[in-house]
Amino acid sequence: MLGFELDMFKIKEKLENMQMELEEPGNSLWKATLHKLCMNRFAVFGIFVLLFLVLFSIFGPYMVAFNYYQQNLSLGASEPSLTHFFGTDQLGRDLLVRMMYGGRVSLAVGICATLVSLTIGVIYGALSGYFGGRVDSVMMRFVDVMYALPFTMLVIVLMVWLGRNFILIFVAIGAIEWLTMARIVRNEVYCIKKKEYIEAARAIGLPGWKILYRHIIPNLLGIVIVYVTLTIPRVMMIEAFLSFLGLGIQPPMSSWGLLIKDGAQVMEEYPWMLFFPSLVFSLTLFSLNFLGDGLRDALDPRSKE
Amino acid sequence: MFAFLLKRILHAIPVLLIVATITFFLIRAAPGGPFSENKIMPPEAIASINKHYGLDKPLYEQYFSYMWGLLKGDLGPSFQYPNRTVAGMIADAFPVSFELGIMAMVFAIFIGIVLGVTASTKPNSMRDYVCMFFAMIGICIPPFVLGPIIIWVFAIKFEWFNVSGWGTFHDAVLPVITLGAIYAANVARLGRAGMLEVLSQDYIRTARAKGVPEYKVILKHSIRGGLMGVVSYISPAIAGVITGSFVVESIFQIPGLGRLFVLAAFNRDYTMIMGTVLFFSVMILIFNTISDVIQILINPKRSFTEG
Repeated sequence: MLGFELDMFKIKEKLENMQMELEEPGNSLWKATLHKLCMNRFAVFGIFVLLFLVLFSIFGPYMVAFNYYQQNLSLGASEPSLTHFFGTDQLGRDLLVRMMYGGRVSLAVGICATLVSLTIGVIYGALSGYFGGRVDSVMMRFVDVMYALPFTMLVIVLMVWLGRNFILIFVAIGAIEWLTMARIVRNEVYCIKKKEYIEAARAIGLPGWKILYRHIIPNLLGIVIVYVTLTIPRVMMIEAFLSFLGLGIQPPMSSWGLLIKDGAQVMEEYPWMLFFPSLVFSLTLFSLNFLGDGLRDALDPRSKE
Repeated sequence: MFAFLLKRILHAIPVLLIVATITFFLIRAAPGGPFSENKIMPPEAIASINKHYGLDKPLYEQYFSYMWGLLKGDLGPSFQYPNRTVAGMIADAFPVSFELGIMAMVFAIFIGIVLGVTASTKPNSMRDYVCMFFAMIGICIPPFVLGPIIIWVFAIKFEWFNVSGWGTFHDAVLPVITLGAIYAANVARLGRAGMLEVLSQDYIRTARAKGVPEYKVILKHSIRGGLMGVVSYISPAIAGVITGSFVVESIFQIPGLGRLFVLAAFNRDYTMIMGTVLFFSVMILIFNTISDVIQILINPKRSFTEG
């Protein structure tokens, strides 16, 4: 009798130990991901650079005595100095402040357009993967057809149509960037759908939309986050590319693409006008790509370090 | 294979119809027309020009007459250059873009494979990091940043090249690098990943164990399998490189298709926009088909009978 109680005690102790082991860091998916991400030096570097750039763009303009449209024609283009850290352009506008405002535009475009593409892509992909069969093949066929369109050109045509409307730029870019997201989500949903817990949810009589909303979409989170960090730089690149061609943001407002374009036109005389915006823009793309790669490795259960 | 190609052509027709329709209505919805920006002409003259080109008719009538022309292979006259046809201007500009694209692709494949294979021979070493750092630069520095910067360095500071222009091989060096960089970077990454996979196979270990010199292991035993991924990347990339040269052509003032299109978009040259968009779509479809055919031919797991 006593022996049995001792056994029970031992088993209980063992169970507790197991529980302790389970709670150790690295056993929950998100903790493990975070841990792996922090081990990746490039990704951490990316996070810090991005944080700095966001703060720089949002709060920077309040700390500088100039604003983005304030001209100083008598000064003209001046080299970087103590009053104008990054110099000024031909109209005497402070480049540092213009870069901060440009950063606001670029980051806002990146985030908003990505959100638009995320919403469309996830809903479209989830529905396609969930329904499967005929619906799925028709929906995916449509995506295939869309892939064959010359996108850059359609964006340009859209820009000509929407003109100078800042907000519509987000929508236009997002409306075009959702295809890959839809494809990725669809494949993922297709796999999740076959798992036992979905079957269980169906067995207890959960309605279809609830299964989709409560059980499938949350499980897409990992792959979607990775893809979002890789979409943001792409979208920012498209915005900058449009502004560079003179079709995007219009002066006196500024964006990084526009500043690079202005700088490229006068690089012979005023090289700093090209260098600072190019540097910051490339740095942002670097950071986002490193972060995206890092997240992908961290969320990949096959990569155990 | 012929059935496959026929199927592809049949699939292409609705795609092109969709492209033509979307572009037509998008561009017509844009404010301003090809002649409204021109302040020099009196309104009566503008009205008569509009009438001449049929721009005064209802939109749906213009749409059907354009589509009818399209069926007959007629892309219409250019509105910006009154005595030129769209087809003629595309025929002039395309060889330039094609040449630029092919050179950029050759550059990208060569540099990419050298970087990728070099990196893979000693993973996680200094050599690997340096090669992959260059690849990352190619991915993170877009052409509109890279272009001006290499112009500044090589054309303005060192004066080795002309700032812009097109004609000699010498003129092509900077644009080719600018256009090819991102593709070189992707080839390098794909090449490295593919090579690493092959180099971890058993037969490579066997080859090493029996004393085959390392350069032979790489060049003879692994490179063919390792570069499969690169091969399947190349032909869609060719479509991208030939059709995606707007920025490079604008920066270097190259009279190719991309520049033609961007100028047309600025000038609301309706027929020219339509013509270039359709031409690009056809190019994309052709290269996608070629890429599928090549993949089916080299990959025994795929066949022409699949979807």
